Amino acid sequence: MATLSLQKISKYYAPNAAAVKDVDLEVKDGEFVVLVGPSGCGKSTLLNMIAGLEEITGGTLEIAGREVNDLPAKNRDIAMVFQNYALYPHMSVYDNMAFGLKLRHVPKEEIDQRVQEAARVLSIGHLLERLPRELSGGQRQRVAVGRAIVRKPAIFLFDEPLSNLDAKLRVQMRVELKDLHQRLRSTMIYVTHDQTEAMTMGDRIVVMKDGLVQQVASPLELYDHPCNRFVASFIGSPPMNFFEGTLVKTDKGYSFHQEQGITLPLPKRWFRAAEAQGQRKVILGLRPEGIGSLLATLDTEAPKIEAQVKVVEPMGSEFYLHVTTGKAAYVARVEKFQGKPGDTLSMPVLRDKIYLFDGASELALSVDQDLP
Amino acid sequence: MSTLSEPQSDSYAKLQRDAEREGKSLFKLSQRRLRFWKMSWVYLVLGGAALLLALPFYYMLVTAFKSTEELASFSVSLWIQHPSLEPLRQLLEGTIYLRSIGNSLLISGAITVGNLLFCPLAGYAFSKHRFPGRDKIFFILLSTMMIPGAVLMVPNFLLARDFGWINTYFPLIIPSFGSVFFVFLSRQFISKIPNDLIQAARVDGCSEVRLFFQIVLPCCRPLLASIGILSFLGAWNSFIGPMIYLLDESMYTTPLVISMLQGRFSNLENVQMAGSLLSILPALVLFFVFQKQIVNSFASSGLKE
Repeated sequence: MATLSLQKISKYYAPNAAAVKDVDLEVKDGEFVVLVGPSGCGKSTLLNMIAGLEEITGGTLEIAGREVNDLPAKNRDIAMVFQNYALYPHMSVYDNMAFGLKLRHVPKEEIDQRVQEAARVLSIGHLLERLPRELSGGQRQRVAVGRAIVRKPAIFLFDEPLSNLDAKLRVQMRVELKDLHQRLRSTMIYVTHDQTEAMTMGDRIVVMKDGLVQQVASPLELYDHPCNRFVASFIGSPPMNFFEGTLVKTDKGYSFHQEQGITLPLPKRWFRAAEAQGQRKVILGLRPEGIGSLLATLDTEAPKIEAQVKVVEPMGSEFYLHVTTGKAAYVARVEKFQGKPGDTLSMPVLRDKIYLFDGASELALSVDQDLP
Repeated sequence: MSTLSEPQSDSYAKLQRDAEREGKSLFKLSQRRLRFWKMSWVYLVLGGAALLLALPFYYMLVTAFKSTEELASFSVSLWIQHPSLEPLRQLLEGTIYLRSIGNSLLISGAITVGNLLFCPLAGYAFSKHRFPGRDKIFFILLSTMMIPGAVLMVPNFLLARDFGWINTYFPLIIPSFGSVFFVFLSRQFISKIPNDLIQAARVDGCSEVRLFFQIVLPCCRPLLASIGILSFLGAWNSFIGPMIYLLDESMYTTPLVISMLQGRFSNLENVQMAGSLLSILPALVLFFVFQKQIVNSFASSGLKE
């Protein structure tokens, strides 16, 4: 177990081609941090730099307080689980797990004891004599995790370890990995492009885009208070709805207005931001679960929007309604729906699921949390 | 009606019985038979071509066991009246054939071992390591494949002479270690090994040397089979090189000794054929022992992809 400190870490493949730019991050001992972002955002490059598999162009990387910028991967006391398992195809499961320990001249008895223990934890004891090609995807991933566990490293690194598994197995392994973290209490850095994985597994999430860190926060903080439109769109499923328009002063305060789209009276908490914004363009963000949901209907003062249902997606416990208001198309997530496509609905909007972003910078406007 | 329908129903019943016996549906069975008859002319042509190719080998085989008398009595015959081991005895006692086999084995073995070691090493460097000018060097290497061997004969000979290598095995063995074709083959094969596997080994604590020998090479068995077989056979059959560099008869390789047979046993075609027959034995043994690997290697060594 160890802390990890990244100070202004950068990676340039060419003078003007930054894969990762000035990343600052402090990871506490035993913390589970998830790096999330779309393909090409630099999250895997950053992980490889932590692992020592990519050279660091600029900045300082410290593991347990020791600078490791120029230390080779084998001397960093880290273990890594790869997306495609990366098991040695010619070695048995046992040898795969024991390989790293043999290279470190760990006594044979201790190797055996550690491998057996990891195999027991991961329920792969019966597979130890098999070759990787004789295992299923889930079993291979367990072996890859086992190979990391036996090393008892200071930091575990996971590079999209569940991407190659089918949806059901992914959910199962997600829970198992989280359980493993709770048992080992090791520092873990986990890379994924799947926001669900990030939300469910991380103590903290680092959202990245184009090599830059957009926001570092806990899952709920990210969800409730995204710092910009990108984070707001990336976190949450279905993603947040966005509408471009302007703010208009009315008798009752301020209202969002979109040409041939929606018009929505804003709650008091946004008045100060609206005043500061003036005539500049804004982007209104509405979470799908904030439109027409049971909770919104209970709020008597909730602003309402008229919408026409285009497509209904029943999900079992809820419905995704693809609706339009004028030319604006968006998604609402509701618990109950007995209508049909073509129906016109008046849908209340939850006041704390309304977000405003600056039209130019796309940064979130500051909200008065204390006001309704 | 009955006379017409009975034979039909008979054949139908037979088909159905066949289908039941083979556990297939009637439709599938009839489809398969139809396909077989449609393909039969292809089999016929291929069979004819195979026979044509096998004929010289068969002729070599039967002639090698003909006695000198029988050889003299018929001009060309594809049958043996009285099989004899006399040609073999003449070959082994009257020439340095056995010694030449030893020489060939030594040269081919050394070249094979060298290629097995150096070509995957170079291929690994070209595919998995980044270094300045990597792709340019590889391109230059590849372009040397376009230079005809005959063009290099004289410069190579002059180089070997300057090194003092004439009448030694060095000019045959040393330059063969860096076969461009095998380096190319290795690079293509090794580039298919996932980078994650190599990185996992590095994280596990492997040094570069250990990584190559314990992780990369074991993943290259089909590649090693290709290189091993092709380089052994190439060296075994090599004629021009030994002819240029070897002066001392006791150092001759098998192809050189076979070529000598035409002069020494000019009228004894059976002895010449016995020499040829013995020389292809190692190739045949290699093929039968490594048949599976040979097929696998060409299926997965990058040649077909």
